[in-house]
Amino acid sequence: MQHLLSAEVIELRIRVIAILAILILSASMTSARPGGEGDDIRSMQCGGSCHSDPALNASSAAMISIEQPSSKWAGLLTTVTVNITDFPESETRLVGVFLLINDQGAKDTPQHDGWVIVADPNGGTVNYIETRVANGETSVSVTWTLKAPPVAGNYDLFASIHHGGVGNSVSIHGNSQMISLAIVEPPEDLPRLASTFIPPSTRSLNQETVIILETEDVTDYVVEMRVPGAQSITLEIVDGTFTIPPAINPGSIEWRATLSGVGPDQQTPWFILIAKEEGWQADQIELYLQAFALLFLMTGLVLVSSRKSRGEKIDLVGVMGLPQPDFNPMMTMEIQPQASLVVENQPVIPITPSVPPEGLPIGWTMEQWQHYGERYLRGEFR
Amino acid sequence: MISAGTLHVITTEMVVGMFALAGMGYLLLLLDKKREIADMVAHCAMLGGLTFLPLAIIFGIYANPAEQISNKLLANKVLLSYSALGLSVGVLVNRWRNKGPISGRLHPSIGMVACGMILLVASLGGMYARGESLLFFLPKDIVLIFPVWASAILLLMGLTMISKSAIEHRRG
Repeated sequence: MQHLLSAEVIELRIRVIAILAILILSASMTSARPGGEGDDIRSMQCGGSCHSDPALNASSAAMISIEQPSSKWAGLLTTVTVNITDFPESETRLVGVFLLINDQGAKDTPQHDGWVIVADPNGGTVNYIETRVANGETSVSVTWTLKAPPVAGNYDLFASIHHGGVGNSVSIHGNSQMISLAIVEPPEDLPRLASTFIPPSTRSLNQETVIILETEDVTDYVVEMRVPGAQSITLEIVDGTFTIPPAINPGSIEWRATLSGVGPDQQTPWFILIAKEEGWQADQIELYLQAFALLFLMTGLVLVSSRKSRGEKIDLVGVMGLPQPDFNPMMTMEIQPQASLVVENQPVIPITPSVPPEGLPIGWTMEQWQHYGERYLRGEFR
Repeated sequence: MISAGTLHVITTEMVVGMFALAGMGYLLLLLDKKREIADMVAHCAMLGGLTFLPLAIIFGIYANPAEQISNKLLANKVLLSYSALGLSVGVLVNRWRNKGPISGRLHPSIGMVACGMILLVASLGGMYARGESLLFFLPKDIVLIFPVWASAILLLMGLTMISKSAIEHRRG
Protein backbone atom coordinates (compact mmCIF):
# COMPACT_ATOMS: atom_id res chain seq x y z
CA MET A 1 0.00 0.00 0.00
CA GLN A 2 2.83 2.34 0.97
CA HIS A 3 4.62 1.39 -2.21
CA LEU A 4 1.50 2.17 -4.27
CA LEU A 5 1.07 5.54 -2.58
CA SER A 6 4.68 6.44 -3.23
CA ALA A 7 4.30 5.54 -6.88
CA GLU A 8 1.19 7.70 -7.04
CA VAL A 9 2.97 10.62 -5.43
CA ILE A 10 5.91 10.27 -7.78
CA GLU A 11 3.58 10.15 -10.76
CA LEU A 12 1.79 13.28 -9.53
CA ARG A 13 5.08 15.10 -9.05
CA ILE A 14 6.24 14.17 -12.52
CA ARG A 15 3.01 15.52 -13.96
CA VAL A 16 3.30 18.77 -12.02
CA ILE A 17 6.93 19.22 -13.11
CA ALA A 18 5.97 18.45 -16.71
CA ILE A 19 3.15 21.04 -16.62
CA LEU A 20 5.45 23.67 -15.09
CA ALA A 21 8.15 22.92 -17.66
CA ILE A 22 5.67 23.28 -20.52
CA LEU A 23 4.42 26.59 -19.11
CA ILE A 24 7.95 27.94 -18.65
CA LEU A 25 9.07 26.84 -22.10
CA SER A 26 5.97 28.22 -23.78
CA ALA A 27 6.62 31.74 -22.41
CA SER A 28 8.62 33.85 -24.79
CA MET A 29 11.32 36.26 -23.60
CA THR A 30 10.08 39.77 -24.04
CA SER A 31 10.68 43.39 -23.21
CA ALA A 32 9.61 44.55 -19.77
CA ARG A 33 6.93 46.96 -20.92
CA PRO A 34 6.37 46.67 -24.66
CA GLY A 35 3.16 48.67 -24.31
CA GLY A 36 4.97 51.59 -22.72
CA GLU A 37 4.72 53.00 -19.24
CA GLY A 38 2.31 55.82 -19.85
CA ASP A 39 2.79 59.56 -19.78
CA ASP A 40 3.88 60.82 -16.39
CA ILE A 41 6.33 63.02 -14.53
CA ARG A 42 9.48 60.91 -14.65
CA SER A 43 13.20 61.20 -14.07
CA MET A 44 15.59 60.15 -16.82
CA GLN A 45 15.25 56.45 -17.63
CA CYS A 46 12.67 56.38 -14.86
CA GLY A 47 15.40 57.00 -12.28
CA GLY A 48 17.19 53.83 -13.37
CA SER A 49 14.52 51.81 -11.63
CA CYS A 50 14.23 49.26 -14.39
CA HIS A 51 17.42 49.50 -16.39
CA SER A 52 20.20 50.16 -13.88
CA ASP A 53 21.99 47.04 -15.07
CA PRO A 54 24.16 48.02 -18.06
CA ALA A 55 23.56 44.57 -19.54
CA LEU A 56 19.93 45.54 -19.97
CA ASN A 57 20.70 48.73 -21.90
CA ALA A 58 21.67 49.63 -25.42
CA SER A 59 22.37 52.94 -27.13
CA SER A 60 19.89 54.25 -29.63
CA ALA A 61 20.97 55.02 -33.17
CA ALA A 62 18.42 57.83 -33.30
CA MET A 63 19.58 61.45 -33.47
CA ILE A 64 17.96 63.57 -30.77
CA SER A 65 18.05 67.34 -30.76
CA ILE A 66 16.31 69.96 -28.69
CA GLU A 67 15.47 73.33 -30.18
CA GLN A 68 16.04 76.58 -28.34
CA PRO A 69 12.83 77.83 -26.68
CA SER A 70 10.82 80.21 -28.79
CA SER A 71 11.08 82.97 -26.18
CA LYS A 72 13.21 83.45 -23.10
CA TRP A 73 11.23 85.87 -20.96
CA ALA A 74 11.03 84.94 -17.30
CA GLY A 75 7.59 83.79 -16.25
CA LEU A 76 6.15 83.87 -19.77
CA LEU A 77 4.98 81.12 -22.05
CA THR A 78 7.36 79.46 -24.46
CA THR A 79 7.66 76.24 -26.43
CA VAL A 80 10.41 73.64 -26.60
CA THR A 81 10.57 71.16 -29.48
CA VAL A 82 12.42 67.85 -29.42
CA ASN A 83 13.31 66.35 -32.80
CA ILE A 84 14.07 62.67 -33.17
CA THR A 85 15.48 61.55 -36.51
CA ASP A 86 16.95 58.32 -37.89
CA PHE A 87 14.68 56.36 -35.60
CA PRO A 88 15.87 52.73 -35.75
CA GLU A 89 13.78 49.68 -36.47
CA SER A 90 11.39 48.93 -33.66
CA GLU A 91 8.63 46.38 -33.32
CA THR A 92 6.13 48.68 -31.64
CA ARG A 93 7.54 51.97 -33.00
CA LEU A 94 6.75 53.37 -29.56
CA VAL A 95 9.18 55.94 -28.22
CA GLY A 96 9.21 57.54 -24.79
CA VAL A 97 10.54 61.12 -24.69
CA PHE A 98 11.78 62.83 -21.53
CA LEU A 99 12.19 66.61 -21.22
CA LEU A 100 14.79 67.14 -18.49
CA ILE A 101 17.17 69.66 -16.94
CA ASN A 102 20.13 67.36 -16.23
CA ASP A 103 21.30 63.80 -16.77
CA GLN A 104 21.67 62.85 -13.12
CA GLY A 105 18.58 60.64 -13.01
CA ALA A 106 17.18 62.50 -9.98
CA LYS A 107 15.73 65.95 -9.41
CA ASP A 108 15.94 66.39 -13.15
CA THR A 109 12.43 67.32 -14.25
CA PRO A 110 11.85 70.86 -15.58
CA GLN A 111 9.70 71.56 -12.53
CA HIS A 112 12.81 71.32 -10.36
CA ASP A 113 14.13 74.48 -12.06
CA GLY A 114 10.86 76.35 -11.83
CA TRP A 115 9.52 75.55 -15.31
CA VAL A 116 5.79 74.96 -15.46
CA ILE A 117 4.59 72.48 -18.08
CA VAL A 118 1.45 74.05 -19.51
CA ALA A 119 0.92 71.39 -22.17
CA ASP A 120 2.87 68.34 -23.22
CA PRO A 121 2.76 66.96 -26.76
CA ASN A 122 -0.12 64.62 -25.84
CA GLY A 123 -2.20 67.33 -24.22
CA GLY A 124 -1.23 66.57 -20.64
CA THR A 125 1.09 68.41 -18.27
CA VAL A 126 3.96 65.96 -17.79
CA ASN A 127 7.62 65.82 -18.80
CA TYR A 128 7.57 62.23 -20.09
CA ILE A 129 5.35 61.29 -22.99
CA GLU A 130 5.05 58.34 -25.31
CA THR A 131 4.38 58.63 -28.98
CA ARG A 132 4.57 56.38 -32.00
CA VAL A 133 6.74 56.93 -34.99
CA ALA A 134 4.49 56.54 -37.99
CA ASN A 135 5.05 53.56 -40.28
CA GLY A 136 7.42 54.47 -43.07
CA GLU A 137 8.74 57.46 -41.10
CA THR A 138 12.04 57.66 -39.27
CA SER A 139 11.51 60.96 -37.50
CA VAL A 140 9.14 62.53 -35.05
CA SER A 141 8.94 65.94 -33.38
CA VAL A 142 7.25 66.69 -30.10
CA THR A 143 6.64 70.10 -28.54
CA TRP A 144 6.09 71.14 -24.95
CA THR A 145 4.50 74.44 -23.98
CA LEU A 146 6.21 75.75 -20.88
CA LYS A 147 6.03 78.73 -18.63
CA ALA A 148 9.61 79.88 -18.07
CA PRO A 149 11.01 80.07 -14.54
CA PRO A 150 9.99 83.30 -12.82
CA VAL A 151 13.58 84.16 -11.90
CA ALA A 152 16.02 85.30 -14.57
CA GLY A 153 19.18 83.23 -14.93
CA ASN A 154 20.89 80.47 -16.89
CA TYR A 155 19.00 77.25 -17.31
CA ASP A 156 19.72 73.93 -19.01
CA LEU A 157 17.36 71.68 -20.91
CA PHE A 158 17.90 68.40 -22.63
CA ALA A 159 15.90 65.48 -23.96
CA SER A 160 16.25 61.76 -23.53
CA ILE A 161 14.44 58.93 -25.25
CA HIS A 162 13.97 55.22 -24.74
CA HIS A 163 12.36 52.64 -26.96
CA GLY A 164 12.38 48.96 -27.83
CA GLY A 165 13.91 47.15 -30.74
CA VAL A 166 13.02 44.09 -32.73
CA GLY A 167 12.23 40.80 -31.04
CA ASN A 168 13.82 40.15 -27.68
CA SER A 169 15.40 43.56 -27.37
CA VAL A 170 16.91 45.26 -24.35
CA SER A 171 15.86 48.80 -23.50
CA ILE A 172 17.42 51.28 -25.94
CA HIS A 173 18.31 54.79 -24.80
CA GLY A 174 19.52 58.02 -26.31
CA ASN A 175 20.16 61.58 -25.13
CA SER A 176 20.30 64.93 -26.86
CA GLN A 177 22.98 67.53 -26.34
CA MET A 178 22.31 69.80 -23.38
CA ILE A 179 21.23 73.30 -24.36
CA SER A 180 21.82 76.32 -22.14
CA LEU A 181 19.61 79.35 -22.26
CA ALA A 182 19.55 82.66 -20.50
CA ILE A 183 16.13 83.56 -19.15
CA VAL A 184 15.79 87.33 -18.78
CA GLU A 185 13.30 89.61 -17.09
CA PRO A 186 10.81 91.00 -19.60
CA PRO A 187 10.64 94.80 -20.00
CA GLU A 188 7.81 96.36 -18.00
CA ASP A 189 5.85 97.52 -21.05
CA LEU A 190 6.39 94.36 -23.07
CA PRO A 191 3.12 93.26 -24.71
CA ARG A 192 2.52 89.81 -23.29
CA LEU A 193 -0.01 87.18 -22.41
CA ALA A 194 -1.33 87.49 -18.89
CA SER A 195 0.41 85.26 -16.35
CA THR A 196 -3.00 83.71 -15.61
CA PHE A 197 -3.64 82.75 -19.23
CA ILE A 198 -3.38 79.00 -19.88
CA PRO A 199 -3.84 78.06 -23.54
CA PRO A 200 -6.16 75.09 -24.03
CA SER A 201 -4.26 71.98 -25.09
CA THR A 202 -7.01 69.50 -25.98
CA ARG A 203 -10.55 69.54 -27.30
CA SER A 204 -13.21 67.13 -28.54
CA LEU A 205 -14.04 66.45 -32.15
CA ASN A 206 -16.72 68.52 -33.88
CA GLN A 207 -16.56 71.27 -31.27
CA GLU A 208 -15.31 74.74 -32.05
CA THR A 209 -12.96 76.29 -29.52
CA VAL A 210 -13.56 79.83 -28.32
CA ILE A 211 -10.50 81.43 -26.72
CA ILE A 212 -10.45 84.65 -24.73
CA LEU A 213 -6.93 85.94 -24.92
CA GLU A 214 -5.87 87.49 -21.62
CA THR A 215 -3.08 90.00 -22.16
CA GLU A 216 -1.04 92.69 -20.41
CA ASP A 217 0.26 95.91 -21.99
CA VAL A 218 -1.43 94.96 -25.27
CA THR A 219 -3.43 97.41 -27.37
CA ASP A 220 -4.06 95.14 -30.35
CA TYR A 221 -3.35 91.61 -31.46
CA VAL A 222 -3.62 89.32 -34.46
CA VAL A 223 -4.15 85.56 -34.22
CA GLU A 224 -2.94 83.05 -36.79
CA MET A 225 -3.85 79.40 -37.07
CA ARG A 226 -2.29 76.60 -39.11
CA VAL A 227 -2.19 72.88 -39.54
CA PRO A 228 1.37 71.86 -38.59
CA GLY A 229 3.66 72.48 -41.51
CA ALA A 230 1.03 74.27 -43.61
CA GLN A 231 0.39 77.93 -44.45
CA SER A 232 -1.18 79.90 -41.61
CA ILE A 233 -4.46 81.84 -41.84
CA THR A 234 -5.56 84.82 -39.78
CA LEU A 235 -8.50 84.42 -37.44
CA GLU A 236 -11.13 87.06 -36.87
CA ILE A 237 -11.21 88.60 -33.40
CA VAL A 238 -14.61 89.59 -32.02
CA ASP A 239 -14.90 91.29 -28.63
CA GLY A 240 -11.52 90.06 -27.53
CA THR A 241 -12.22 86.46 -28.44
CA PHE A 242 -11.41 84.29 -31.42
CA THR A 243 -12.81 80.96 -32.51
CA ILE A 244 -10.90 77.96 -33.78
CA PRO A 245 -13.15 75.92 -36.08
CA PRO A 246 -14.07 72.35 -35.08
CA ALA A 247 -11.93 69.37 -36.05
CA ILE A 248 -13.60 66.53 -37.89
CA ASN A 249 -10.78 64.03 -37.34
CA PRO A 250 -8.30 63.52 -34.49
CA GLY A 251 -5.21 65.65 -35.00
CA SER A 252 -3.70 68.94 -34.01
CA ILE A 253 -3.66 72.55 -35.11
CA GLU A 254 -1.42 75.34 -33.97
CA TRP A 255 -2.17 78.97 -33.22
CA ARG A 256 -0.21 82.00 -32.13
CA ALA A 257 -0.85 85.67 -31.45
CA THR A 258 1.12 88.72 -32.45
CA LEU A 259 0.76 91.22 -29.63
CA SER A 260 1.12 94.98 -30.15
CA GLY A 261 1.43 97.66 -27.49
CA VAL A 262 3.70 100.38 -26.21
CA GLY A 263 6.72 98.08 -26.23
CA PRO A 264 8.02 96.15 -29.23
CA ASP A 265 5.59 93.71 -30.88
CA GLN A 266 5.80 90.20 -29.54
CA GLN A 267 4.85 86.87 -31.08
CA THR A 268 3.71 84.09 -28.81
CA PRO A 269 4.99 80.58 -29.54
CA TRP A 270 2.83 78.30 -31.67
CA PHE A 271 0.42 76.72 -29.21
CA ILE A 272 -0.74 73.22 -30.11
CA LEU A 273 -4.39 72.29 -29.76
CA ILE A 274 -5.04 68.56 -29.99
CA ALA A 275 -8.41 67.24 -31.09
CA LYS A 276 -9.23 63.86 -29.55
CA GLU A 277 -12.13 61.49 -29.80
CA GLU A 278 -14.28 61.42 -26.69
CA GLY A 279 -12.94 58.52 -24.65
CA TRP A 280 -15.09 55.93 -23.00
CA GLN A 281 -15.78 56.64 -19.33
CA ALA A 282 -17.56 54.49 -16.81
CA ASP A 283 -20.23 55.95 -14.58
CA GLN A 284 -18.61 55.41 -11.18
CA ILE A 285 -21.88 54.87 -9.34
CA GLU A 286 -23.19 52.35 -11.86
CA LEU A 287 -19.86 50.50 -11.96
CA TYR A 288 -19.36 50.18 -8.22
CA LEU A 289 -23.01 49.41 -7.53
CA GLN A 290 -22.81 46.60 -10.06
CA ALA A 291 -19.52 45.43 -8.53
CA PHE A 292 -21.06 45.23 -5.04
CA ALA A 293 -24.21 43.63 -6.47
CA LEU A 294 -22.05 40.94 -8.10
CA LEU A 295 -20.14 40.46 -4.84
CA PHE A 296 -23.27 39.81 -2.79
CA LEU A 297 -25.00 37.89 -5.58
CA MET A 298 -22.05 35.51 -6.01
CA THR A 299 -21.77 34.99 -2.25
CA GLY A 300 -25.51 34.37 -1.99
CA LEU A 301 -25.55 31.97 -4.92
CA VAL A 302 -22.70 29.90 -3.49
CA LEU A 303 -24.30 29.76 -0.04
CA VAL A 304 -27.76 28.86 -1.37
CA SER A 305 -26.46 26.24 -3.78
CA SER A 306 -24.58 24.64 -0.93
CA ARG A 307 -27.63 24.60 1.36
CA LYS A 308 -29.70 22.95 -1.34
CA SER A 309 -27.20 20.23 -2.04
CA ARG A 310 -26.37 19.62 1.60
CA GLY A 311 -29.63 17.87 2.40
CA GLU A 312 -28.93 15.24 -0.24
CA LYS A 313 -25.39 14.52 0.78
CA ILE A 314 -23.59 12.88 3.64
CA ASP A 315 -19.86 13.30 3.90
CA LEU A 316 -17.85 10.51 5.37
CA VAL A 317 -14.46 11.88 4.46
CA GLY A 318 -13.69 12.96 7.99
CA VAL A 319 -14.72 9.57 9.32
CA MET A 320 -12.90 7.67 6.61
CA GLY A 321 -9.74 9.68 6.68
CA LEU A 322 -9.50 10.09 10.43
CA PRO A 323 -11.26 7.61 12.64
CA GLN A 324 -13.08 10.13 14.83
CA PRO A 325 -15.92 8.88 16.96
CA ASP A 326 -17.78 12.20 16.84
CA PHE A 327 -19.13 11.79 13.36
CA ASN A 328 -20.61 15.04 12.11
CA PRO A 329 -23.77 14.49 10.07
CA MET A 330 -23.24 17.90 8.41
CA MET A 331 -20.28 16.51 6.51
CA THR A 332 -21.60 15.59 3.14
CA MET A 333 -20.89 13.21 0.35
CA GLU A 334 -23.07 12.28 -2.56
CA ILE A 335 -25.12 9.22 -1.87
CA GLN A 336 -24.66 6.66 -4.57
CA PRO A 337 -26.88 3.63 -4.20
CA GLN A 338 -24.55 0.70 -3.70
CA ALA A 339 -25.52 -2.74 -4.85
CA SER A 340 -29.16 -1.86 -4.66
CA LEU A 341 -31.92 -4.09 -5.89
CA VAL A 342 -34.17 -2.10 -8.16
CA VAL A 343 -37.60 -3.43 -8.89
CA GLU A 344 -39.89 -1.51 -11.17
CA ASN A 345 -42.38 0.59 -9.24
CA GLN A 346 -40.87 -0.63 -6.00
CA PRO A 347 -38.71 1.32 -3.52
CA VAL A 348 -34.94 0.82 -3.70
CA ILE A 349 -33.85 -1.82 -1.18
CA PRO A 350 -30.12 -1.66 -0.44
CA ILE A 351 -28.36 -4.91 0.26
CA THR A 352 -26.39 -4.67 3.49
CA PRO A 353 -22.99 -6.36 3.31
CA SER A 354 -21.89 -8.52 6.16
CA VAL A 355 -20.18 -6.76 9.04
CA PRO A 356 -16.52 -7.84 9.20
CA PRO A 357 -15.38 -9.90 12.19
CA GLU A 358 -13.52 -6.91 13.68
CA GLY A 359 -16.80 -4.99 13.76
CA LEU A 360 -17.92 -1.72 12.19
CA PRO A 361 -15.24 0.84 11.33
CA ILE A 362 -14.62 3.30 14.15
CA GLY A 363 -17.28 6.00 14.24
CA TRP A 364 -19.63 4.28 11.80
CA THR A 365 -23.32 3.64 12.37
CA MET A 366 -25.21 0.68 11.01
CA GLU A 367 -27.05 2.97 8.63
CA GLN A 368 -23.77 4.21 7.19
CA TRP A 369 -22.58 0.62 6.91
CA GLN A 370 -25.77 -0.24 5.04
CA HIS A 371 -24.99 2.42 2.44
CA TYR A 372 -21.21 2.43 2.28
CA GLY A 373 -20.19 -0.93 3.66
CA GLU A 374 -19.54 -2.47 0.28
CA ARG A 375 -17.31 0.43 -0.77
CA TYR A 376 -15.48 0.09 2.55
CA LEU A 377 -14.88 -3.57 1.91
CA ARG A 378 -13.55 -2.68 -1.55
CA GLY A 379 -10.99 -0.50 0.24
CA GLU A 380 -12.20 2.83 -1.14
CA PHE A 381 -12.14 4.60 2.21
CA ARG A 382 -8.79 3.38 3.53
CA MET B 1 7.20 57.50 -0.30
CA ILE B 2 5.80 54.32 -1.77
CA SER B 3 3.31 54.95 -4.53
CA ALA B 4 -0.10 53.32 -4.72
CA GLY B 5 1.08 51.57 -7.88
CA THR B 6 3.90 49.82 -6.03
CA LEU B 7 1.61 48.78 -3.20
CA HIS B 8 -0.85 47.52 -5.78
CA VAL B 9 1.86 45.36 -7.35
CA ILE B 10 2.88 43.95 -3.94
CA THR B 11 -0.65 43.12 -2.84
CA THR B 12 -1.58 41.81 -6.29
CA GLU B 13 1.35 39.40 -6.26
CA MET B 14 0.28 38.15 -2.85
CA VAL B 15 -3.29 37.68 -4.08
CA VAL B 16 -2.30 35.98 -7.33
CA GLY B 17 0.22 33.69 -5.66
CA MET B 18 -2.20 32.59 -2.97
CA PHE B 19 -5.09 32.13 -5.36
CA ALA B 20 -2.90 30.14 -7.74
CA LEU B 21 -2.02 27.85 -4.82
CA ALA B 22 -5.68 27.66 -3.83
CA GLY B 23 -6.55 26.77 -7.42
CA MET B 24 -4.13 23.85 -7.33
CA GLY B 25 -5.72 22.71 -4.07
CA TYR B 26 -9.22 22.86 -5.54
CA LEU B 27 -8.00 20.99 -8.62
CA LEU B 28 -6.75 18.18 -6.39
CA LEU B 29 -10.06 18.21 -4.53
CA LEU B 30 -11.88 18.00 -7.83
CA LEU B 31 -9.71 15.08 -8.88
CA ASP B 32 -10.28 13.52 -5.43
CA LYS B 33 -6.55 13.36 -4.71
CA LYS B 34 -4.93 14.06 -1.36
CA ARG B 35 -8.21 15.34 -0.01
CA GLU B 36 -7.16 16.31 3.50
CA ILE B 37 -4.05 18.22 2.46
CA ALA B 38 -5.68 19.75 -0.61
CA ASP B 39 -8.67 20.90 1.43
CA MET B 40 -6.45 22.61 3.99
CA VAL B 41 -4.14 24.19 1.43
CA ALA B 42 -6.95 25.37 -0.86
CA HIS B 43 -8.97 27.08 1.83
CA CYS B 44 -6.05 28.54 3.80
CA ALA B 45 -4.49 29.91 0.61
CA MET B 46 -7.82 31.35 -0.48
CA LEU B 47 -8.27 32.97 2.93
CA GLY B 48 -4.80 34.47 2.65
CA GLY B 49 -5.54 35.74 -0.84
CA LEU B 50 -8.84 37.20 0.33
CA THR B 51 -7.14 39.24 3.05
CA PHE B 52 -4.97 40.95 0.45
CA LEU B 53 -7.64 41.24 -2.27
CA PRO B 54 -9.44 44.30 -0.85
CA LEU B 55 -6.07 46.02 -0.41
CA ALA B 56 -5.14 45.19 -4.00
CA ILE B 57 -8.45 46.61 -5.22
CA ILE B 58 -8.12 49.81 -3.19
CA PHE B 59 -4.48 50.42 -4.17
CA GLY B 60 -5.38 49.60 -7.76
CA ILE B 61 -8.08 52.26 -7.77
CA TYR B 62 -5.68 54.83 -6.27
CA ALA B 63 -2.94 53.81 -8.72
CA ASN B 64 -5.13 54.77 -11.66
CA PRO B 65 -3.74 58.16 -12.73
CA ALA B 66 -7.10 59.25 -14.16
CA GLU B 67 -9.76 60.39 -11.75
CA GLN B 68 -12.37 58.39 -13.62
CA ILE B 69 -12.27 54.83 -14.87
CA SER B 70 -11.78 55.55 -18.53
CA ASN B 71 -10.49 52.20 -19.69
CA LYS B 72 -12.71 49.19 -20.34
CA LEU B 73 -10.02 46.80 -19.12
CA LEU B 74 -10.04 48.57 -15.74
CA ALA B 75 -13.83 48.38 -15.53
CA ASN B 76 -13.69 44.65 -16.29
CA LYS B 77 -10.99 44.25 -13.65
CA VAL B 78 -13.21 45.89 -11.04
CA LEU B 79 -16.26 43.77 -11.91
CA LEU B 80 -14.29 40.51 -12.11
CA SER B 81 -12.40 41.08 -8.88
CA TYR B 82 -15.58 41.84 -6.93
CA SER B 83 -17.27 38.76 -8.42
CA ALA B 84 -14.29 36.60 -7.49
CA LEU B 85 -14.35 38.13 -4.02
CA GLY B 86 -18.00 37.15 -3.67
CA LEU B 87 -17.42 33.57 -4.87
CA SER B 88 -14.42 33.17 -2.56
CA VAL B 89 -16.29 34.46 0.48
CA GLY B 90 -19.13 32.03 -0.30
CA VAL B 91 -16.75 29.10 -0.66
CA LEU B 92 -14.96 29.90 2.60
CA VAL B 93 -18.19 30.46 4.54
CA ASN B 94 -19.48 27.12 3.29
CA ARG B 95 -16.31 25.40 4.36
CA TRP B 96 -16.40 27.12 7.76
CA ARG B 97 -20.05 26.19 8.34
CA ASN B 98 -19.41 22.61 7.29
CA LYS B 99 -16.70 22.21 9.96
CA GLY B 100 -14.92 19.78 7.70
CA PRO B 101 -14.06 18.93 4.12
CA ILE B 102 -16.93 19.21 1.69
CA SER B 103 -17.13 16.40 -0.81
CA GLY B 104 -18.66 16.50 -4.23
CA ARG B 105 -17.49 18.38 -7.26
CA LEU B 106 -19.52 21.56 -6.86
CA HIS B 107 -17.51 23.08 -4.02
CA PRO B 108 -14.03 22.70 -5.57
CA SER B 109 -15.45 23.72 -8.94
CA ILE B 110 -16.67 27.03 -7.53
CA GLY B 111 -13.32 27.48 -5.82
CA MET B 112 -11.54 26.92 -9.10
CA VAL B 113 -13.81 29.38 -10.88
CA ALA B 114 -12.99 32.02 -8.24
CA CYS B 115 -9.27 31.35 -8.64
CA GLY B 116 -9.58 31.48 -12.42
CA MET B 117 -11.34 34.83 -12.19
CA ILE B 118 -8.55 36.26 -10.04
CA LEU B 119 -5.93 35.04 -12.49
CA LEU B 120 -7.96 36.58 -15.30
CA VAL B 121 -8.01 39.88 -13.40
CA ALA B 122 -4.22 39.69 -13.08
CA SER B 123 -3.93 38.94 -16.76
CA LEU B 124 -6.05 41.97 -17.62
CA GLY B 125 -3.70 44.01 -15.43
CA GLY B 126 -0.78 42.80 -17.51
CA MET B 127 -2.67 43.74 -20.64
CA TYR B 128 -3.34 47.22 -19.22
CA ALA B 129 0.16 47.91 -17.90
CA ARG B 130 2.35 46.23 -20.47
CA GLY B 131 0.07 45.83 -23.45
CA GLU B 132 0.45 42.07 -23.61
CA SER B 133 -1.05 39.04 -21.93
CA LEU B 134 -1.23 35.29 -22.32
CA LEU B 135 -4.97 35.79 -22.73
CA PHE B 136 -4.50 38.10 -25.70
CA PHE B 137 -7.43 36.49 -27.50
CA LEU B 138 -9.99 37.82 -25.03
CA PRO B 139 -12.10 40.75 -26.26
CA LYS B 140 -10.79 44.02 -24.84
CA ASP B 141 -13.48 46.44 -25.90
CA ILE B 142 -16.49 44.86 -24.22
CA VAL B 143 -17.71 45.80 -20.80
CA LEU B 144 -21.22 45.16 -19.55
CA ILE B 145 -22.38 47.81 -17.12
CA PHE B 146 -25.93 47.39 -15.91
CA PRO B 147 -28.23 50.31 -15.23
CA VAL B 148 -28.61 51.23 -11.56
CA TRP B 149 -32.02 49.55 -11.21
CA ALA B 150 -30.70 46.22 -12.51
CA SER B 151 -27.72 46.33 -10.17
CA ALA B 152 -30.04 47.23 -7.28
CA ILE B 153 -32.21 44.18 -8.04
CA LEU B 154 -29.15 41.93 -8.17
CA LEU B 155 -27.91 43.42 -4.92
CA LEU B 156 -31.25 42.74 -3.24
CA MET B 157 -31.28 39.20 -4.60
CA GLY B 158 -27.80 38.61 -3.23
CA LEU B 159 -28.61 40.03 0.19
CA THR B 160 -31.83 37.98 0.31
CA MET B 161 -29.98 34.78 -0.51
CA ILE B 162 -27.31 35.49 2.11
CA SER B 163 -29.97 36.25 4.75
CA LYS B 164 -31.93 33.13 3.87
CA SER B 165 -28.81 31.01 4.04
CA ALA B 166 -27.88 32.50 7.42
CA ILE B 167 -31.34 31.83 8.84
CA GLU B 168 -31.33 28.24 7.57
CA HIS B 169 -27.89 27.72 9.04
CA ARG B 170 -29.03 28.95 12.46
CA ARG B 171 -32.01 26.63 12.35
CA GLY B 172 -29.53 23.85 11.73
